Amino acid sequence: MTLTVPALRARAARRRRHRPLSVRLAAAFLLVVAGTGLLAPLLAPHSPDTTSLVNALAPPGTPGHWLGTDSTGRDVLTRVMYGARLSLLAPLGVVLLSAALGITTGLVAARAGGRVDAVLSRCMDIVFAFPSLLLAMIAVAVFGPGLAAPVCALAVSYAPFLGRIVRSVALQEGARPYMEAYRVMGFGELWVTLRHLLPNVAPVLIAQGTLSFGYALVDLASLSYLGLGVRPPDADWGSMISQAQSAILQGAPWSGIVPGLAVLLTVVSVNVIGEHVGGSISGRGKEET
Amino acid sequence: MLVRETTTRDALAVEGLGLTIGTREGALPLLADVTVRVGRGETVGLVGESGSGKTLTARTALGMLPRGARATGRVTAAGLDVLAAGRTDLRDLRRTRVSMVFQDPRAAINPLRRVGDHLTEGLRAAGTPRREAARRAVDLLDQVGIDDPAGAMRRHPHQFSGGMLQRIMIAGALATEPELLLADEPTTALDVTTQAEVVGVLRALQRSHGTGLLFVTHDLDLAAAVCDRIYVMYAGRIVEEADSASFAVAPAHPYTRALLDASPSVHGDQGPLRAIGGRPRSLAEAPSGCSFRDRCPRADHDCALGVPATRPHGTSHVACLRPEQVKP
Amino acid sequence: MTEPVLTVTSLVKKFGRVTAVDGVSFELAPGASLGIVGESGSGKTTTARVLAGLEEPTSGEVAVAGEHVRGRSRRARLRRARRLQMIFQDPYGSFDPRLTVAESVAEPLRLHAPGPAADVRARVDALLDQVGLSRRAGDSRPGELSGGQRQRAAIARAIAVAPRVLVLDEAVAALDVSVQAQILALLDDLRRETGISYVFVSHDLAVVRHATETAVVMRHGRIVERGPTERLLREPAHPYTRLLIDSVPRPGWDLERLARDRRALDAL
Repeated sequence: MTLTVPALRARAARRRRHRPLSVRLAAAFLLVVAGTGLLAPLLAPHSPDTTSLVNALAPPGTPGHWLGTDSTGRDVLTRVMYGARLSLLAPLGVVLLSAALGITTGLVAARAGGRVDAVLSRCMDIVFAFPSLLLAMIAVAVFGPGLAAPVCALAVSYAPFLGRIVRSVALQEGARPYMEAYRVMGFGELWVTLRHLLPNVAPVLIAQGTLSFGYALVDLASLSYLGLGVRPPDADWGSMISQAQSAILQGAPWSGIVPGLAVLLTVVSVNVIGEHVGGSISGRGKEET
Repeated sequence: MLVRETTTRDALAVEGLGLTIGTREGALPLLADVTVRVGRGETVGLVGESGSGKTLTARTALGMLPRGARATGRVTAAGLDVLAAGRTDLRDLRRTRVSMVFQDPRAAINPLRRVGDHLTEGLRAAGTPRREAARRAVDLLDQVGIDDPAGAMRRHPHQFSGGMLQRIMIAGALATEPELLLADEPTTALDVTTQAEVVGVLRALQRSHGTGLLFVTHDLDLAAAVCDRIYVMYAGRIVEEADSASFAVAPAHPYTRALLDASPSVHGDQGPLRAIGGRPRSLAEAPSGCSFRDRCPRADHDCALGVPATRPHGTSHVACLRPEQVKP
Repeated sequence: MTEPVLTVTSLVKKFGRVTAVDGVSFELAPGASLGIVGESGSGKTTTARVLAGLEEPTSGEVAVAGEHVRGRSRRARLRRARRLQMIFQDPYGSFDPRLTVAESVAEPLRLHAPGPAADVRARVDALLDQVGLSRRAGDSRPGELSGGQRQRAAIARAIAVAPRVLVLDEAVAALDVSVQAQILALLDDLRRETGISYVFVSHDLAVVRHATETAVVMRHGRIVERGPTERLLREPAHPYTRLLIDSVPRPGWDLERLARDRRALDAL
């Protein structure tokens, strides 16, 4: 059997599709951050909570405290490493929860259509219009401080992003003849949706999910900065920045800059990867026509 | 019935056109040694299956080459050397002297603009005063058989059926009295009865305006019914040129013969369909020598030696080493 | 007289106030091929979709192999699917682009006749072979195959569960002439070997002439003429059938007379 020219070209393109340097750097950075967070007890030079007023505000480069200490003498490197745990886990929780919510809502809306679609779409519009941070703050006010409430609140407020995309992609994909072909073969709606529709819209979801991760990290850091997220003495990057305020005024900005950089680089890395995934999706579409 | 006017220049003369496109894997050939001539007022069919390069050839007449393509040979449309022409000359050519009608009228018209705006656009750009342009557009709509042409000018494309919209597109294409009209599968998207009407309109107008018409289609019967002369394309090359009267009766090239044998027909006796093995190829996938030889029942090793030259054969011109064998 | 394998009685399908199919009835004998001819808006595709269970009829009955099929319950769905399958016009769009052709063909087998993976694979290979596809084509994704190969794959998938009736909705319309003839020949062979029946929905009179013995002509949702295909084409009784035939291009085509006939018919 011979292959068509476009098919041959597509095959070559697949072989050739390499990951650009930026994507590889971003992935490496995220791996390092996740690894240090995971292995913090083994790798960290100090205990994250040991205060030492003698060593307070040691500048970066001080032997034993390579990234300096904060205003209570805690080692910044150690706290950034420990902080990676909550700073990465919490947004991951937001992404997974909002994906579960958004995919379900979007798929149900697209496949049910009619009144169900109208009601679900309006609900998504309302949540969409509600500022996510405000919702998170209300959740904290109602359920008390801690990470659970803001994570759930953010998940709810992010769900419409994914929900709307899932709905529109599912409508588009659902109109393709193969969806009808499966119905004629005797397959049920749920089976077709889960086995054929969802995998075909999955790449879009992954791209959107990575973008949400960045938003969630920043939002959660903001909440921590406002003192509404992680409770002291637990470390996360947002609360570290918040606690660094006085140090910054005293001319010792490093205890804020280091976690700030961690937030910045993590968000940029996640977005770079998300954009790459999104880009290779549109590339896939071109190959198939 | 070869209408050859020697006194005036041809509406379209494509001579030895070759087209290659650069890809990351290297140069991919699309067309090779394509020669097509359309006289003024003549209707010429360009027939082929997918990948044969018929649409590419037609688009080249407007200077619309695929991105990254390199053309060799010579293309003269309405007196302009298209391959050598600059951007301004090409724009001028497309605006006034060569028009095109596409397969899907709905995809080829701006859905948000009124039909009248679409029709007068070309005329206005060519410097016709607004009122005069509108008068000509109404006149053309009347000629293509649109009821209430003045009212139609104010309506939008979605208010017309596919057949009516294609008539409007034809009116628009002929508005500037072009020397050459390129019609790329203009009736393929239409119902059979509508196709007959649209073809009727197209032919009547083309005749009364003296426009040269290049009719690109995959439909052999349609080409034979509509055209004076027909070129058959296969894998980026012209394999046969014949006047349409002898085309269906005495095909000279084995491919033409095979196509006719593979086409079911409504009229006449029902013979069994003889399928051609394999599938149509593009030039890049074609075997060396004669492109058709891997599907040709009569091919032998001579056919692999080189691309057969086009030579006269009865009333036809054919690129085949032994066309007499296929004479019925 | 054998019992018909498909009986359609007074089928009506309305979309809101528009009546797409208006009282269509026909029968199909085992091993026979029936053409449904019409232009866009004639209701031929809606009829096919009702047969396949993609639309619920507003009224009327569809019986396959002597059994009425209706409803959307899992049981009804499976019973209908085992008896009647459909081929779509667009062979590319009717496959999940992620799956290989062999995987796609295996799916209806797993649903209707589950068995060990090796048995399913053997059945798939036999089916692909039956429609003239190599094992290598079976391991390709639909995007890597030509239009003709995809339509062969679609046929393999449709006959996987050995249905009694195959509904073909413009199944060869998108194919090149040389490939179209191959698919028509394949369909012919299959019918002779398996005794399957076809409902051949098409706008193309020439194709219908080659693929069917009897035909109905539809216009505005109704059947305007029916009979043996060859007789329909040679001695059309209804003016619309005649117009359809005259509209097929041929040398010496009288376009002015056609336009007159069409206007006369529209005035009726």
